[in-house]
This record gives sequence, C-alpha cells and structure tokens, in this order.
Amino acid sequence: MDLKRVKTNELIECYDIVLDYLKQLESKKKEVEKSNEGNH
Amino acid sequence: MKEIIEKEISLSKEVFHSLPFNNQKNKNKFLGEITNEITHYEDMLQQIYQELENRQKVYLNLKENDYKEYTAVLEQLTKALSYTNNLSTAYEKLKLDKQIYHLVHYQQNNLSKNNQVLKKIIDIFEKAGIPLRLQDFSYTKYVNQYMESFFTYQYCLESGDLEKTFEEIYWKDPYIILELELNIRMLYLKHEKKFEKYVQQVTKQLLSQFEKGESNLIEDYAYLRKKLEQVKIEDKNNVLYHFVHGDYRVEDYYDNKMEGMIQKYFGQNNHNMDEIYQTSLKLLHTLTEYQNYIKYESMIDKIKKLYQETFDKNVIKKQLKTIQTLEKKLFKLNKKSTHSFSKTKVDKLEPEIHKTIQEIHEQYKVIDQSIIQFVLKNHLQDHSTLFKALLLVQQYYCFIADLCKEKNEQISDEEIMQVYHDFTLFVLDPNNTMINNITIAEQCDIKEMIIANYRLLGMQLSSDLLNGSNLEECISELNKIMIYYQMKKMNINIQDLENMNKINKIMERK
Repeated sequence: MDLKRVKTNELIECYDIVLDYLKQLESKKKEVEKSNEGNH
Repeated sequence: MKEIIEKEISLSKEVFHSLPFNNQKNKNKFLGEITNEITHYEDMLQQIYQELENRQKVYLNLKENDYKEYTAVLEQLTKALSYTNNLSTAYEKLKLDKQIYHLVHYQQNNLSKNNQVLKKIIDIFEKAGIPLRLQDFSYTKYVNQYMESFFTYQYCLESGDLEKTFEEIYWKDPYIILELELNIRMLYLKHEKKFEKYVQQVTKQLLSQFEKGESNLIEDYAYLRKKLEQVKIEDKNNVLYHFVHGDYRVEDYYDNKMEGMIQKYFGQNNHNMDEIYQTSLKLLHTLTEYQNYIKYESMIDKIKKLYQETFDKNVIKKQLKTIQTLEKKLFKLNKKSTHSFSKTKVDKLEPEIHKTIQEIHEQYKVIDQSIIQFVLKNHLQDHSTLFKALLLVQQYYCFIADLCKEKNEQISDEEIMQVYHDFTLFVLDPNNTMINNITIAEQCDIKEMIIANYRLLGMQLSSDLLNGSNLEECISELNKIMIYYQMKKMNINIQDLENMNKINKIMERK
C-alpha cells in the first residue's frame, strides 16, 4: 500500500482500526495461553 | 485504504473464529497463527505511525518567529526617544536611577545581585569617560574598605572572600548599602556635566542610524510598530505554531462557533469579511488602550493630583545645597576620625558621622519624592495631553517602581522591570487615540466615549461588556475573529489542524 497517497484523516482512522484489532488479537492470544497453562 | 484494512481484518477475524483450540495440538497451532498475525499488524501499525510522524514533522519543525529585526530597531528607537527628550536628565537616561533603586532594594537578601548592580554602575561611569577608582569611594571608611575588596574581586564577584568582607563590615556598619548609594549619587553630581556631554554623544550616534533624524523618531517608531503588528498578524508560520503548541485551540475556530461570535458583535447583517476584519482591528486597538488605561488608572490619578497640587519649585535646589553642606561636614568628620589614634575619640565621632549620613539621606528622600512633581510642573500645562504626562513619568523608573511597591509590597524587581517594559509599550503604542486627545486637566468618562464612538460605526457595545472579565473576554474574542480571518486568507484548513492534534495524541500515547 502506498501510504503517502492516503489522506491524513483516513490514515488516522486506519491507525485506530489496526490498533484496536491488535488489542483484540493480543487479548485472544493471552486467553488461549492462559487456558494452555491450566492444562499443564 | 480503510476499506481494504477493514476487509482484511474481517477475514482475519473469520479465520481465527473458525480455528479450533480444543486440544493441546490445536492450541499450539492457534497460538502460532495468532502470533504471526500480531506481527503482521504490528508491522502495519508501525508503517502507518511512521507515515503519520513524517506528516507531523512539518508542524513539529515549526519555529516561532521572534521578529528580532523589528524589536532590535524598536529598542534603539525607544532609547533615542528617551535620549532626545528634555524630560529627564542623564541620571535617568543612563538608567543610573534604576541601578541605584535596585542596589537599595536588593540589600536585604542578595549580595550577589548587589555586586552585579555595583559593577553595572561602575561600567556606566566608565562608558561616560569617568573611570572610578578606590579613592572615589571615600564616603565612609566602611565604604572604602568594602570597595577595596570589591575592586580586588570585580572580575569574580561570586568570591567567598568578598562575601566575607561584606559580612564583617555589615556587623560594624549595617548602613553600608545606604552609604554606597550616597557615595554614588555624590559622584554623579560631581561629574554631572560630563554625563550630560556623554548623553549628547550617544544621542548623536543613535540618531545617525535613523535617516530622518530626531524630528521623525516618533513617526519612525509608530510606522515600525504598526508594521510589526501587521507582520505578526499575517505570519502563517506563527499562526500554525500557536495551534501546534496549544496557544490556540482548534475547536475555538469551527465555522459555526466563529459565525456566532461575529454575529454577537456585528449583528445578523451580511458583512463582508474584510469589513469585519478592519472594524475588529480598530475596536481591538480601542479596547486594548482602554484596558491599559484602567491598568494604570491609579498612576494617572496620582499624576493628575501631583500636577494640581501647589509646589515649591526651588525645593530640589535647596535640598542639593543642604546636601553639599552636610557632605562637607561629613568629610571633615571622616578626616578627623582617620587621623585620630585615640580609640575614644574615634568612638565619639562615629555617632556624629552616622547622624550626618542620615541627614543627607533625608534630603535625598525629599528630592526623590519631589522630582516627579518638579518635572510635571515644569513640563506640563493644562492643555498638555495625557500622553505627554505618561511619556514624562516613563522616564522615571523609580516613580513607577514605587507605585508597584505601593500596590504590592512583595513584588520582585524582575516583575517591576516587566511592568516598566509593558508600561513603555503602552505609552508608545501608535494605536492609542484617547490618551493622545485627553488633556491632563480634563475629567471624562472614557467608557462612554468608546460606546458612543462605536455606536456611530453601527456596533452595539454595552457598558457591561467593558467591565472587568467581560472586557478581557471581548478582547480575546476579537483576537479570535482576526485569527479566523487570517486563517481563511491563508487557506489554513481546520481539518488539517484537527488531524495534527489527533496525530499529536497518537504520538503522546506511544
């Protein structure tokens, strides 16, 4: 993706969307890791 | 791009939703996949952040213009205006009055500052071609003792030995600073003609910088101040700088907000922006002058009172003559004291010396209290403008400093200097109109004058609007209208500024 061509307000929105999804992924990962620890 | 990312994320969500993690093997597989996905989105986030940071650099690299090329010339013009007028003597023009004021007022708490002031005073004498030596400081034996040490350490005033000497002397003679002050004032009077000559030389040098010379100084100053005001208003760099640094808030400049504000002052009629700008600027000047008038009203009242009171014009001459006589007496006593070997005789002379010094001090106090009245009476008449009266007192730092202390005993010397600086800017403001037209003997309601004047221009100002915090708010709103006008003219997009703020927040969070 050529980020240079994206408008700033759209880029900010993208930043927020990606950040939000990253948080979801990290929380899901932690959840699975925790259940994994419980099994050991 | 947003759509592509949203689609990608939606797909990723679906994949992770369908991935099983019911047993250890699946869990490990799930963790592997999700770790890769996290790395992928971390990279993406970093790329976006980098791009946002690059875009923000334009704003972050902004440096505030300080307009030094203007302020330096304005300072020279202010100095030239002070040097060329006949409202003060070399004592005030060379700021010896200010230095001595500081010397006396630092005395209780700051020896280091005192020494710096002493050095400045000696430098002023030196520049005027009067190099001071130890023998010039013979007002009392303690002054001489301290100055001996001072001259030894004059290039390292923070020396502990100098401080020790001062402390030792101070125990024996707590009036040492007063004696230093009187000694310096005596030296000034002794060399007064040389100082006046030096002021003439400096004036000549100053005037050589300005093509049209003395007669045009006020016009040159006014032209440059107005030009600087215009340059500041039209400086896109600084408008953006103030938004970046939070001095201006983006949300204050939304169109709907600004339109409401414009309507408040200009009514519902469709005015064009140029007209609004010009009237706002004019009103802003008037209100700023009015605000300053209120700020210095007690000073103005005092000037009027001093001008109207009866006054003996010979008082200063008489005091100076008495001082001369008392100083002769003091020097005789000093001589006797130095040449006497009998301890008892010296001790007998000390109270007499001290008494004489206090008497001299009293005479100078009368001079300091009368000087403003003396110059007001000498230079003003009933038809003189308030501007001339204020210009006159602006020459007298101690008068302004005393008024500051009267209002607030705790005020620091730095704060007094700031008040003096602001006062000078007010007096010389070329946009003042009222103080240039009101005479010193006139009693008038300035607030009513403003309201009546702007009614003629179709603006509805109420008396309430010009009171206290309302006045401040009004000035602040007019400033906003001016900035808003410039933003439109300079094509500064409010959306860009909003984005800049959002990126700032992102960068702060990281």
